[in-house]
Amino acid sequence: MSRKSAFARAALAGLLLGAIATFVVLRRPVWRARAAKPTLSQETDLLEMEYTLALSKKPYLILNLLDSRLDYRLGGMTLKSLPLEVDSIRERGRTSLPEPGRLTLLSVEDRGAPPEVIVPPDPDKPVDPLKDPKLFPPDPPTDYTLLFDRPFKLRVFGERQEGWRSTMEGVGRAVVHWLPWGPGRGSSETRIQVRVPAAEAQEIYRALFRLERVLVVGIGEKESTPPSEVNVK
Amino acid sequence: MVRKASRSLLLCMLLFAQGRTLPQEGPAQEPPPPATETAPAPPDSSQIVGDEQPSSPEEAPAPEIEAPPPPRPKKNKAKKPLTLQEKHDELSKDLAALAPKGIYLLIDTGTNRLYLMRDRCILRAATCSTGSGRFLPDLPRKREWTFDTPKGEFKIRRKVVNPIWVKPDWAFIEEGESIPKRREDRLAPEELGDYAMDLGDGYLIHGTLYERSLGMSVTHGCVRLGAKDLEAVFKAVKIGTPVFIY
Repeated sequence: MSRKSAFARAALAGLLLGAIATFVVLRRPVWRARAAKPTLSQETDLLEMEYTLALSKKPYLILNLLDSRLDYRLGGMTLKSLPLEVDSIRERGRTSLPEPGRLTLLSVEDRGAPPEVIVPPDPDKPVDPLKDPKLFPPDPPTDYTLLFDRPFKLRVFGERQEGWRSTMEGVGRAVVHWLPWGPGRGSSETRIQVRVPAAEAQEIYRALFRLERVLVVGIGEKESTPPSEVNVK
Repeated sequence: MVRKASRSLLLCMLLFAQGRTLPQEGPAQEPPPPATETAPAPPDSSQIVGDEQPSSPEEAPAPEIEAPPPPRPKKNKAKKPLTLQEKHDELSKDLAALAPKGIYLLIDTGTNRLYLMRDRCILRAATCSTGSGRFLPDLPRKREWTFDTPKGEFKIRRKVVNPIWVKPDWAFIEEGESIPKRREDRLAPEELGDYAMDLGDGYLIHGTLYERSLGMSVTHGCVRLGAKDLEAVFKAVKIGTPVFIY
């Protein structure tokens, strides 16, 4: 009994230490350092894919996992660029690194939270003006998972200011990352978790719309190869 | 048939004899109107309007028929495939060409900010309010509304001074009020502020009575601005000015 409990304690301590180590490692922008610079061919592929998006009159996003940023673009111009930290990338249950030549075009299916339903006020119960959602709407979520038209999930984690709560949340996420039944394990889908300040997570959520196109740079199908007749300088 | 052929052959011979080229084949042209015999008018007369007609066809100068330009020598070479660098540069150039020029508006629904732009410079930045994203069902009539600001490229279609809002059904349903039957009961003259700019499909950029809620996503899809910013934007834009909402 005592042996078992000692073993359980040691396992728990190991798990906690592992989680702390993961948390510390994940806080650093590891992807940026490891990612290679895209070649001319890869850049051209990206431009080609983007050009078709730019011709539409709708805004689109470029989630660049290599540069760790989310670009808001419309008609070929960058409207806004938000830096982010890529916590983890899991493809078919395995951790992977972004590669410059891999591109995926996705379409947002669901923002991960249902829209707030308006309930008309009861004429007998006057509404407190300071609590009227028409004037003061509730804050959008800071932690949500976006679903797409393909087996792909993007979790946007809005990090609060530095503090014990933020640290505890980070450790908690790292523990979940290590769990055998953690997110993305054994699944055939791609899961990416990114970290941004809480206000930016809300900003992303507010502006997202259904069927918005997201071009992900760094993961996707097989790397495209340049045509043989093209001369590479 | 034979007559026609012989007539056209004769015409050809005549034209070649005069050193002219054959006109291009095409739809039959009406012959020029026959010259009418008119008494020569005094030169100082102001009654004659238009070109003077020649007195007889013989005297008429031959109409000049422009020779078709010589055909350009055909290049036997097939189109040279672009190098990767050329393709890259061309795509970059094409993308850059899509960027708007002149005055335009950018509306960021994520931060509720509106930018009055000229080329790539911000002329004015303003806090606005955009769609709440809230959902209103009307179960008895099987209708529903989602109050989102539409995203994409739009144009200012109309500019209105002192706009009067004709409240739609949802404005009453949202308040738990009965929908009026008379149009006069739907009018809200001061709700939209002093100016409105129509983006189409019922979406406007307009003013508000609730300036305290600027910066928040509270609207039914329209873009609200404070009075001063609204006036500045209204004066700066024209009908057709592009508006980019993202």
